[in-house]
Amino acid sequence: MFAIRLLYRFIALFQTHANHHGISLGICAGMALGLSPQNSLHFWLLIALCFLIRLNLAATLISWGMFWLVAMLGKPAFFVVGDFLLNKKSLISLWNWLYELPFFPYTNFYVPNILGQMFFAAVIFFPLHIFSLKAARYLEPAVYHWWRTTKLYTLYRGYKPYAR
Amino acid sequence: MRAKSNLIRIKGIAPLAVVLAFGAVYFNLSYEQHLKKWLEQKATLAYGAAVDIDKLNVDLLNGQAHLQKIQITNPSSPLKNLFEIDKISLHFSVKELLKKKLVIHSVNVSGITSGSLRVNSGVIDDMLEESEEHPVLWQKTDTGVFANLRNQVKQGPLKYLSQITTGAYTLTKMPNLKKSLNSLKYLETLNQSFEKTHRDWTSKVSLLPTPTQLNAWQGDVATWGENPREIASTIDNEKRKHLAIQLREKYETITNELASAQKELTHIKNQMDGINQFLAEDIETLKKELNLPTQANDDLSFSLFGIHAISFLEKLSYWSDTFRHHGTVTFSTPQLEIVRTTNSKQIEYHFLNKKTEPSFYIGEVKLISGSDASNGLVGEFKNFTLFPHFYNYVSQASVRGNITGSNWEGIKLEVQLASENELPLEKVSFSVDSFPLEDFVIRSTSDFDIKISSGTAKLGIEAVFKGPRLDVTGIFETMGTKFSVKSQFSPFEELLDSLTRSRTILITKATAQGEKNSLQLTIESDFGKQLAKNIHETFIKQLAQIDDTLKTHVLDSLFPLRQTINEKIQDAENISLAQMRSTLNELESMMIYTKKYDPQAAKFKHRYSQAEKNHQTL
Repeated sequence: MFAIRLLYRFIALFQTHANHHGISLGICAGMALGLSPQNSLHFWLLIALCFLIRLNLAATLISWGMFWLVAMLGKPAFFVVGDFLLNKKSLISLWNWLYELPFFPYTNFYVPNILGQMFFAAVIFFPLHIFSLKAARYLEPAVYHWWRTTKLYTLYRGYKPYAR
Repeated sequence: MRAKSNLIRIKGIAPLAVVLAFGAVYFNLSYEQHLKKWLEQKATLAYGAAVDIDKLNVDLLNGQAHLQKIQITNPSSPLKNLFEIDKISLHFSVKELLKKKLVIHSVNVSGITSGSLRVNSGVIDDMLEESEEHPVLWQKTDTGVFANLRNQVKQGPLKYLSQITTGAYTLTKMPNLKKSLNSLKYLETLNQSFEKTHRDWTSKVSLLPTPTQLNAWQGDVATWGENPREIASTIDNEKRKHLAIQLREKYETITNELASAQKELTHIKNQMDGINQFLAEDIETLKKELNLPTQANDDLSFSLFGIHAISFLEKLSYWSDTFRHHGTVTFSTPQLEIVRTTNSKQIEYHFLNKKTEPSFYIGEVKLISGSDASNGLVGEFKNFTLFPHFYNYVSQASVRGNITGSNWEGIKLEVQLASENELPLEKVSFSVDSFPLEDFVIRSTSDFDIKISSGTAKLGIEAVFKGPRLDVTGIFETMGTKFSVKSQFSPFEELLDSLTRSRTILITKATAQGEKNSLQLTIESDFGKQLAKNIHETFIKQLAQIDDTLKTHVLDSLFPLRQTINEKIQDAENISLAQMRSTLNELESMMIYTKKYDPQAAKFKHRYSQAEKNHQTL
């Protein structure tokens, strides 16, 4: 019973904060996750943040998958961007400072394609937030309707009493 | 403030804290095990044969780690360890570890033994596949200087010795080498000749009377008793005489064929035994094909000594090169340098700063062979870092101690890796406080030589590698006289020459030649002679072992064909010859009655019996 309740609560987490703002933040968080390699420190910090910030986890999951694909396909482009930034003379003192900071080197920022991905994620964060906010307003009724017709939702509804 | 409180998921804090707590507990309990496995895997993959660690303890707060019983497999002999280390203690900086830098202040390595036996084989299954893509340490070499020599050694005898003695190497090579086996060719010829003989016998099967014919003859002969010769008609007697002659002729033909077949079989059996002489030839052929040593042509001292010396020089040269040319400098000031490095996985940048620690640094490593420092050799390494040119670190390696069991005392070997005007500058200094001399000759280009039959001497030499050139200076002191040694030569070419031509002389004699041939020293020692003798004895034993193993493998390869021929011989004896004998018996039983019509029949019976007797004797 405890396990079912735990599972229910976990699934319920993905349903929470399905407002436009939560969905939009979820998409942005998923983008950041998809563009972060799993062996880096910021990836795990982002995972923790996803559970701490009021955002829609279902949107995060979908966005994560999509941006993971973007990271894979855009690797050469991210490398060029990262290589350019690491060699930019005006930024050298910044990199040097970050290189000597505790914990920060575990983000692997000194690897060109990882820095390129981090830079790309930072640049598109706010534009993506605004765009996905508008898209959520426009698409939300249709998606909500589709979700209610899925078998997974029926299953979830069926287990609801156990969660009390 | 309100917006902030809305942004945080209060209910998420507790589950996250629980997950983190569980993670922390799990990490605390099991990270040593995971780290040990990770270290073993990485070391094994990099080295090319199993590296095992019995126990690992890490104290992260105090920056200490202890590794116990480290076994490093000998890649050429996977059931033995190249080294076994009793204990390694490390003291590292926790502060630098937080910056993803590995700064080890000191390493103590104690209880080093070599050649100990392993419980499990140290071969890793996918070693060969891995090695093609990423050469392991064992195969890593530098590209230029040793290329020719390395090729010679790769072709050389001892490369596969352990695999040969354990059978691992021969089994994989054998299918390719089968074609060159004389014993196999001999057996194939024998098999073909036997086939031909067998076909001849089969064609002569028409000589044998059919069962119907035999029955008819037996029926005829059976009726003769009712109507004896005395009362039978002349026509009947003529018919009986005709049958008696026919039977006797048939008997004669089959007896001759049987004798011939028996002779053929005996010949083939004898030929089967003759394979032993080809086996000996094949073993020699295989040894040649596998580049194995032979007692007549090879001197194992080259293999035993040369392969290790070259292997050591190759690795030293490789690591020296890697050590100096680690990455490309993309930005440089006296205080700061950016280096771009490429490893097998990715390209990364390192920001080197004079005011901070390097990303990898080992301050001091102390190696003690045996149980304590007072007995045996002590090795020390200092200042190892990935970017020595920037940090101005001069790496040093030194070995000092006494060789137990000999009279060599106060040995000290020091190697320094530094650079001068961005050119590699390696310094090697070697000194011995006292070592024995026997039949020692100082040859001079002037009128006389000095010969010392027995005595002791002291030696101190410093050698500096400047690119491909080696400058040697030093002092040699014996019988109260000092000789200064100064020489300049290209060591690699001379070493190559020594290893490929002089062989044993390199162990039994040491020769130093001064500038412009003004002084030549030749040293012979008992220690060297004894070493050469031991090497020779080991060589003979290993050769015998190789011969046995190869013989077994050749016999295994011949087994299917030998089995086929033996089965054919059995079939010939049990079917073809037995059929002939049975027919002869039938004919003989009839000839008891027919011989009175043909008096010559008796002597053919004698022939058959004689042939049988001969066959049984053979």
